[in-house]
Amino acid sequence: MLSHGKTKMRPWCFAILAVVVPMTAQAEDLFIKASRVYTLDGPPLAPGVVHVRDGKIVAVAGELAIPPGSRFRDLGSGVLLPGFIDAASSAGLDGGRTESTVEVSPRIRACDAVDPSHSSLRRLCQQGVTTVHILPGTDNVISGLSCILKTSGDRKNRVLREDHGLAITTSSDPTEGNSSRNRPDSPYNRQPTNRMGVVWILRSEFGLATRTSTPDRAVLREVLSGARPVFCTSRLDTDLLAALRLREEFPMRLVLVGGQEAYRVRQQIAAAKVPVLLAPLSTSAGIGPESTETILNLPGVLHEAGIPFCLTGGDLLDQARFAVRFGLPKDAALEAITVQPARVLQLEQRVGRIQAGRDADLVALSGDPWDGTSRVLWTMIDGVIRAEEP
Amino acid sequence: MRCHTFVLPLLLATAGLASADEVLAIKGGKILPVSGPVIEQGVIVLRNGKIEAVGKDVPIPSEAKVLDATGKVVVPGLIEVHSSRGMDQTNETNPIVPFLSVVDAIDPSQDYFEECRRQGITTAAIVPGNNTIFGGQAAIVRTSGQFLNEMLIKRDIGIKISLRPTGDRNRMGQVAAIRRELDAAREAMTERGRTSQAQPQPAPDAKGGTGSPEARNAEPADPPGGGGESAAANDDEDTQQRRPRPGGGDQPGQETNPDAALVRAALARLLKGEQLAFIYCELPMDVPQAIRLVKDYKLRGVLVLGPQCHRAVKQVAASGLPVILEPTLVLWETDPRSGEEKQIVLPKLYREAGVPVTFTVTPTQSAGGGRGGGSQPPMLGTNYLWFQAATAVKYGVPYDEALRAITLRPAEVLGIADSRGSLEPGKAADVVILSGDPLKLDTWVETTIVDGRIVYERANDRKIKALLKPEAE
Repeated sequence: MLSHGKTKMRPWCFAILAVVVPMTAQAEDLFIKASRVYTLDGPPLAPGVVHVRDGKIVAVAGELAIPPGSRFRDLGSGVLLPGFIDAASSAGLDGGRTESTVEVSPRIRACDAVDPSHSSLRRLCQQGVTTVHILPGTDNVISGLSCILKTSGDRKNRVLREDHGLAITTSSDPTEGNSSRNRPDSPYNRQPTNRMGVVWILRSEFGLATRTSTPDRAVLREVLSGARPVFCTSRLDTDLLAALRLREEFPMRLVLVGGQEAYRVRQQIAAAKVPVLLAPLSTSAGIGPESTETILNLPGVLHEAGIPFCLTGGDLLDQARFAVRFGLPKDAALEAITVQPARVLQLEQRVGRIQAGRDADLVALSGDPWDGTSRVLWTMIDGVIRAEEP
Repeated sequence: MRCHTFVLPLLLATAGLASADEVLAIKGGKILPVSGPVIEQGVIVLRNGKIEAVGKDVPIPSEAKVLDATGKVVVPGLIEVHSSRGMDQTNETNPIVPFLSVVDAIDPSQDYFEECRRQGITTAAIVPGNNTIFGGQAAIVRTSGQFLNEMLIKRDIGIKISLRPTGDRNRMGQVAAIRRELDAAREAMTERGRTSQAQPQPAPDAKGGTGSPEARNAEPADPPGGGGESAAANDDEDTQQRRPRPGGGDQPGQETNPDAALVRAALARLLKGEQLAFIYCELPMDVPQAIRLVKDYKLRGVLVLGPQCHRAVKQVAASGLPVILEPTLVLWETDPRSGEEKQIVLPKLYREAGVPVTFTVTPTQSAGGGRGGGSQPPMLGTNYLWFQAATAVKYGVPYDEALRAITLRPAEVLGIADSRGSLEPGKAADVVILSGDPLKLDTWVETTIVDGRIVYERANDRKIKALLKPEAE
């Protein structure tokens, strides 16, 4: 587990003396003390102590009796947060994210292509992201199944869910490059060629799934029975409304992805009680993908409208900080990278909070999370520190 | 718009600056003068576009319009030391155009300048882009003004030289082209110099050499940059065919190239040390090349460094040349053997090597259109100059040094530190009132003052209001 082998003194983090070695002694007790522990389960404990054993959180409290023989870390002025959860990511997927020779590929699985040692996953881990939901791309109308894994750890134990949700889209991405003005045998003769075509394909596929059964449609039936959530990438207001309409026609557990113009249709989204996984925020609002008109305070506006949302796409802490700058309350910002994604991904019992019984996924920061100069000191996944500030 | 840019130089000669004879006093704020210690609840008096007084117990003139900055923070206007925005196009198609001037391309109505005022950037050096060999003359401008003449602080302050290959050249060809032109210019200079005394002088260090005095009215004798375009294709071909001759200025076909004389005249000013050479290095290998150019031709070099150039940090440190960093300040590199991801923090790295740096920002508008989530947005916050400084602080650069890197240090690099970059009596009245600490995430620019005139007020910023609180549709 953690060793005291290497002791480099650094003025800025005197408490961090350990280096990462493969986990051996599982049953060791570890107590971590921090000036603040954001449990995401009530107000933060200041100070707080977290007791970790066997990769799980055993207890968390303002003070804990530390039995002799157990290991103890004091973060000093540092703070502890639950590991961040990136609910819409393309990390770990190399060489294209969609099988673009077909328009409908519900049985394509992201987990078949994810490289668990990919640099993008390691970077996420260094940024404090511990759980990641990887979605296939948006070049298909129905592009395939997503998977959920931890950003680091043993290959075997990292995967939380191999096939989680079905990725679809109402955006214009699948129409890119398609045209009907070719010879019939041209590879560019691919449906759809416009937005209406995208929705039409969705509607006919889900319609057919109710009547006929093929292996592909079995996946769609799981969606229609509510067993499998749907992650629909929609950016423009019209596309968001199209997704909501589809949900009315076919009962499904819909989650919207992207949502650049969600502020324009916030009443409708709020009424439908559909969560939104926001595309990475930008500090330069203006024109986004698909010529969407983006605003700076999208998270704050959605929060005010009562729409559950997550911040996604890496740099989660920085995104949360800028969301706060632009108007989102701090508590909501922290929830948008921890509790909310855990809820959307149906992993609430495992991750998202610092609570007894949950996975010991923790992030140590050098100071107040809202101070832009606080850094990630280390990231712990299942009780093991997997990334550490150099 | 096009004819607009043509008309501007004409206006330049006729229209004068509307004088800012209003007296402003800012009281009650915490003043960070950058050049001196913090003044709690200080007073700044601005008169005739200049700072008249700064201090704790400065009397407020009765005629002054008083801005109450109680609970706020007052800093000098920020300076972007290098920007290729504000023009309709960053580079000319012809790669060898040292005689052109950005002055003829700056469009005061561009979003860039508006965004600058919103961010508290009061001064910017507009420098041609990196897709060039000799990219043309840079200019220092105020970020406010309806027409260029109101904006211009100092024109023709330097020339962009890029070591990144242009067109179908490789790096050998690029460097050869640079040297050939400089050699030709030097040769022409010494020929002329036999009658007059136009020897290239050893260049003063850009830090110490404050350059020629700030002169917005003094128009340097500079060839007009009009006729360059027609000959563009011609010259390019010409350049391709000529073989590089080290030290050789004899160029076949130079009589047929109408630009050749212009190029030589423009480069002569560079060689005389009258101007800065903004040398863009894309890769670490370009850095020694740039340093050699500076030495061989006694240039007043300023290094514009791409993110990867940190590998040449020792050479950069040894050269003592001023450094401008591209907007990416934090990058990840994969160790080819272990596969370990290593985070490289440029401000920290350069600081540890003893190299003071200045920062630039990414464009404020993300490139629109584009397919879905394909194009990654620029890293959060890198479009804010203050955030670049905050990033430096985050990774261990002392606060004062970071603040200096976006105020006084760029003024020094640009040779305008005698008039800008800090809050001192006699300097231009470029002042920013902030809601809080300049490097904190929740701080906003409340008021931006350029030359004693209020050019931005957050309370009246309708655009930012719409971006924060849109109307429901």
